[in-house]
Amino acid sequence: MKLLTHNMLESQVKTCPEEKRFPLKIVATEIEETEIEFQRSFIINIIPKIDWGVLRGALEEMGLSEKYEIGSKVPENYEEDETFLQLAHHILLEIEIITGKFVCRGTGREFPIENKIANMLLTSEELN
Amino acid sequence: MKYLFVFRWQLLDFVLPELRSLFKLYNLPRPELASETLAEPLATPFHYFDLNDEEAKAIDKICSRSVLIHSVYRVLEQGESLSELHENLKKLPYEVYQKDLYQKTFKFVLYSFNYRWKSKSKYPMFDEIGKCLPHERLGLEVDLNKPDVELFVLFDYSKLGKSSKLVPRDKPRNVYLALQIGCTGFIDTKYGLKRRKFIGRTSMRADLSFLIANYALVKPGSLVYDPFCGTGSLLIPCSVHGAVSFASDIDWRTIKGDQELLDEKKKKETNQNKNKNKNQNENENQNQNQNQNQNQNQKKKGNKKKNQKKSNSKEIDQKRMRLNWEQYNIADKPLEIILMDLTNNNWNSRIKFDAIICDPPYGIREGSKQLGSKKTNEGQSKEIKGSLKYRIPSKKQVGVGELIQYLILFAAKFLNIGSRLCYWLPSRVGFKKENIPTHVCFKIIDVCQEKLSGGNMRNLIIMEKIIEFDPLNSSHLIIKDSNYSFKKKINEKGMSRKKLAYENRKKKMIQKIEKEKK
Repeated sequence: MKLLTHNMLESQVKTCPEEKRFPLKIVATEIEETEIEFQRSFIINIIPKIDWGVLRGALEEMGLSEKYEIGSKVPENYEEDETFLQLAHHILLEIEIITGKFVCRGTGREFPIENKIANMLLTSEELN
Repeated sequence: MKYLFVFRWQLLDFVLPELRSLFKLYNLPRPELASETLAEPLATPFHYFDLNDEEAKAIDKICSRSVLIHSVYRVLEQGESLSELHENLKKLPYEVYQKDLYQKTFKFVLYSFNYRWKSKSKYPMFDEIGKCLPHERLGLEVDLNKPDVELFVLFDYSKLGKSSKLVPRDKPRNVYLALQIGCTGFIDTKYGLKRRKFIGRTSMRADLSFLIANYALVKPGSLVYDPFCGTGSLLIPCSVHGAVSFASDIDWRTIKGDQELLDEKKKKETNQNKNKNKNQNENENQNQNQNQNQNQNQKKKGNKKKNQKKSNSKEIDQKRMRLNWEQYNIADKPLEIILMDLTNNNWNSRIKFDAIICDPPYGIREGSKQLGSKKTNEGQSKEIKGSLKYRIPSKKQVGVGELIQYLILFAAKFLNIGSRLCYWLPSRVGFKKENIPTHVCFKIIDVCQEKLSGGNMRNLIIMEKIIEFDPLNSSHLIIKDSNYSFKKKINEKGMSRKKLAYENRKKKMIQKIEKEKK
């Protein structure tokens, strides 16, 4: 799971209150840093859609907040800031959770991640 | 300037929608490509299009993406028969030739549609065309190995109307002498399913999946989502074109290839193989006793082949979706795989995709399922020895119509304006385009129909989001025919045709027996 995807997913457990569904908590046991092709137009387009606070929180939960320092806000004129774009690209797409789990903040329901694949399936009694 | 487009003679319903989509993808508005001005389906693969300079420059790009364009030409001269072409070539002013052919080496290349020229008659035909060119003044020379220019002689022998007769050689529809501007490769040579490492029962054919990526206007950096990904066959072209792909499916076996289950499977298989080997040995012993050397050898060979096949299938079991990405050298393109049910999806409402493409399960080879139990008050769902990791949630059947409804509502919420939703809709032959589900947020761009066996048909529906989704307006989804399926029509008595035939046979048998008794 990439942090980009973590920024897009929320919990759908029935008993979870609306405000606690997003974001999911990350518990990572194995992290890999892969190499993904840099796509400038994509990064520029996706940055305004990213919840920056959530991204910082995710880095903290994975123990990477010291390695990758990002400010609390997106810098102005980020389109021309090459180092920032590269950093955003690396954090969003190249950090990969191989194994671990997402945890729903409201109910504590765990969604296991294995082989980079998150299992978000719910049982019938947890459905909305 | 006019350019001659030659299309591949397959999937005729898909040709013009593809061309329209590609022009749109490269921001080249082409009003004259609208379906009204061209006869659909095509009667001949040869079509002239008048392109301006900007569009002519984009021919290379279009050819690099296109599946159904065969090649594009700039025509020097044409005629309705060979002799007419000869005369026209003689009349052509010297300046026209000078631009392309002055002091060049060349060779002729033949492309003939619907008729096969034999080499015996082909070379005299080239000679005669050559004689009509002012070759002495141009300083033209023939070089068959490394020519500067390839002069294409294109013959159009396409049938007129519905007659099944072959067109005679001396009466082609049109003959062209042309220079090639662009040509496309055959998708299957690189991406064909035959050589793909991981495929499933419903993997989409390579040409169709590349077509869908074109219809969905997938470009570098697009956020593409396939909610029924299966083996990921639809997302491979998107990754090839540089998109960021998201795949999800409810079927955890296809996606994960769970290790524990795999191990169990392997154990079973090895046991079976052992048993079979035992049987084989016994057979061979018997054969030896009978001293039938020839037969024995043949049987041995047959057994060996069978064993080889078995071992191959074992390898396939260990393979995953990402293996295909490695095979095609696109592992550096972002791909996310999530186990998720579209009807209970986990996407945050803030997210907007640039394209949603999918091949929903119709319930023939893959069942259409959604999370939830069949009974309303069923207790615990199945779990393998209590471990949370391998929990298999119970699923229940969903009708195709209902699934499509979920899909369209999802797309209405999660697509950017101007982005496209492409999906396959199953139907019986004779399906009318008016019966396609519509939604207030979407405009139907094109519908391409492909006939399948047994009176079945599938429709590729291309929709574009035109206005933002309004939750208060969600009732504007109109599904006109909720029975989208391949299933055979049920007659008045509530029986399928097969069952009815069976019942009739039964009746006749009973009548016969009664007669005999009398």
